[in-house]
Amino acid sequence: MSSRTGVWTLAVMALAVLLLALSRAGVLGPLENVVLTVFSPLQNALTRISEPAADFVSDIGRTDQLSDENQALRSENERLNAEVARLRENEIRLQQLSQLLQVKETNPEQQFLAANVFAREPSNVKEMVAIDRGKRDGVREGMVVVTEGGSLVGRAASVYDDYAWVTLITDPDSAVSAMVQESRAQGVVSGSYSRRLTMEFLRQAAVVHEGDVVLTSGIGGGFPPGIIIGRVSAVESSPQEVFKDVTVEPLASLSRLETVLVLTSFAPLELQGP
Amino acid sequence: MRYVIAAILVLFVAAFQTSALTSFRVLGVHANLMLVLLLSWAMVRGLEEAMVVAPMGGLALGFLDGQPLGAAMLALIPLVLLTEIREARIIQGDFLLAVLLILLSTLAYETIILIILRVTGETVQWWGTLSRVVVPAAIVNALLVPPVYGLLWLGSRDLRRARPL
Repeated sequence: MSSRTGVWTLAVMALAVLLLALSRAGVLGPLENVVLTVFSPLQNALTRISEPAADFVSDIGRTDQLSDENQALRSENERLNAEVARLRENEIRLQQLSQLLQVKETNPEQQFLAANVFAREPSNVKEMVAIDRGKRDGVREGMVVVTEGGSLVGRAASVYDDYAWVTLITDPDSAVSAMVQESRAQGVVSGSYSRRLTMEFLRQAAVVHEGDVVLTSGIGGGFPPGIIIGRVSAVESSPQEVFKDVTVEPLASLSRLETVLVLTSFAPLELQGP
Repeated sequence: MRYVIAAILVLFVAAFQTSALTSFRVLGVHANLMLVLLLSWAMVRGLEEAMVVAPMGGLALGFLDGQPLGAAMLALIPLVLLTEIREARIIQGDFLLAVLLILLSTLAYETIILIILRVTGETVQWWGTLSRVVVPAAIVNALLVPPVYGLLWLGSRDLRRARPL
């Protein structure tokens, strides 16, 4: 390495570390907010322009008509699945409440804030999207984000004045307390680098079948209970293992998010150790 | 003037990479167009220009992606250092060397991003990342080298006579 390159490396490294520290401390928040706000129309336009090509690549071999039809059916299916899950959940809840008359309803009417997705994290090790709502609109870190159909998208991770980055449930660092609706078996739905969801900590004795609906359980306080996550797409069990290997197919089309809803009426809990 | 053009180009590429490009997945990963552009820039236009353009690219990407500002800039440093290998002339022909260097640069870039994530408290699965992210990303980025390198070479009329493809 030449001395010139050495000096350059040290200088750029120092600048990058300084920026990292300032960014983590939130000092650069207003500046980042301004830059992303200025660039969001361009990013929006680029996304819209690329959509036909992206559709072509992903639906290669299909006609445009089939692609549109598939998209519409998927949205409708997602909405109906969410509706069915919600009704089932209400029914179970009603049964439980009728048995426990003294239990009060603690969840107020849920309030949502619609937001547009205008950017995605380009790194291959993070799954995040940027939405055009931020602190000024009432978005706070940890708030839950769902699709228009009501299925789980993720949580607001970094919130700036006019926009926020949402960590998707498929992110490798994401973990959501969940349960299988049919059997009430509880576990944790985690993301991975392959963008697949797996349900962990499900004991071998737990009853889980392909097609079962997976919902948030509400345990831990990070997510409200009863939000649909997806359906079980594969179950593998081995007598040697303590837990089952369960793959969950997210109901939301997370790679094609355009509009999402931020659940503003739910304040996530930050639980401390016992 | 060349650095103004470079600044506009890296800003556009950063915007493109954080929007349109994320709709395209090959081998399960997104291409890192910024990395490919900067490496091609260093190979076609030289280390001196790359030393100015690489921090610009890191800054532009840092402002528009979801990572803390400075992460992309830090992850792009090895790219410039690796370009110094060119001076050693181990491989005859810059294009072949560019393909080799993009594989190494991708490995370095993704590793640094993972280290930053780990330091900032996130869970990182090192081996899972290597097979599912780093190797496919290196291949996809290598596939992008010919068009980006070629376009940059064609656009560098001032240097073309001095240095053949």
